[in-house]
Amino acid sequence: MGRWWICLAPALTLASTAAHAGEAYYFNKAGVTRETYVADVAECAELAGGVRVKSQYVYTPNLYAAAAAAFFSGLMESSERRQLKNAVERTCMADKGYRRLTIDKAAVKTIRGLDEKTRLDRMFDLAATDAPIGKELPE
Amino acid sequence: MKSRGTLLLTAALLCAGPVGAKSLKSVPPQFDPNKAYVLVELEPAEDSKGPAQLVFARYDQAKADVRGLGRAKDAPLPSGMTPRESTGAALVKADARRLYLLEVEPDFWIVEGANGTAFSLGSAGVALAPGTITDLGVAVVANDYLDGDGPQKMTAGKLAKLALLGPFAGGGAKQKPTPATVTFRPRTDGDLPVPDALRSKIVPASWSGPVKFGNYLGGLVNRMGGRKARDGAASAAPAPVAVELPTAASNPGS
Repeated sequence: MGRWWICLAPALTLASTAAHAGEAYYFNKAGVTRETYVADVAECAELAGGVRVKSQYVYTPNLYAAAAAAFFSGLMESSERRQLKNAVERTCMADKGYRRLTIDKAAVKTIRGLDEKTRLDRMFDLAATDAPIGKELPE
Repeated sequence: MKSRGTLLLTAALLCAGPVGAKSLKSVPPQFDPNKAYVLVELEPAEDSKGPAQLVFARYDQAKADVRGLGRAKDAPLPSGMTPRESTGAALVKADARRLYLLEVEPDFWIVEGANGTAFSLGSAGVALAPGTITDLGVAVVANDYLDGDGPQKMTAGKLAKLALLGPFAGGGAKQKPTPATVTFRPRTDGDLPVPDALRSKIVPASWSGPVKFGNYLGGLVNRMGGRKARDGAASAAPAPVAVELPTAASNPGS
């Protein structure tokens, strides 16, 4: 049972990560079993976890300028890393036959407000339904 | 004195680079019978501005991962031995096309990636026997754009936006992350000539796969043959990668 929760944790981040980018989405593959879905999500999350972004270093003798450069370079790196991780997750899930569909932010908020077990059930319902809601997005 | 000796040894080891694989700039006068050789020509994508790059890795078939990494972490290679080799120095060059001859340890080698994309979702490999030169043919590396997508055209406005805002410029100005794909084809008359010294020793590649592994290149991931090779199934095999042995007709220089 414990393994279940660990594996499904990245699935919940799929919607939340997308929410940062402005458009929330979820993955759907009609009829997928819960076990397969968990395995697919775990595999894709592991591949996305392998993303590395090169650190940008700007040399300046001025301490304040160096601090500002480090701050913005950190922001750039995390933005690039997030973009690459999303791309890896999307390619991987599409490769496994999943479609990407929009979900409105109110629904995401409702799902997040559910208790853990109900939330996971709801996430899986969305992933496996043969009558998905939302607009299909390109991979 | 002892520390000086250690320092010299360390310097020598650092200069020597990783053991076990190298990209040769010229045909060696004698081939090492204990090493395996790979011949491959790289053809870059039409919209590419420079030569492409391929990365090969030694694969642990029993543990289903790159040697010493991920699922095969508990079976590492001997110290100083690298599990991968990339196309570096070329044997023959013409525009952005390159012919490479790699000297590697005999093993089962896979195509790990191209142009920074790891083919973790499904790749293929070849068992390389000692004392042989295995010809992989011509590898065509391309960007795996989504349907209707293509290389982004840079306008002065987009460039200015990127220069000013960097990663915060928004989706319109930035190029979407696009994974690479590679397909292998047999050599034809228009391809780079294979040096005569190699021709008699060449054996054809006998590919096997699909193989899966972790994202160790740190960038995007894809299937070796790209989206076209998916076939809508999770276990879809990579695109056919059969390569024919070059014939005298296709290489008139022999």
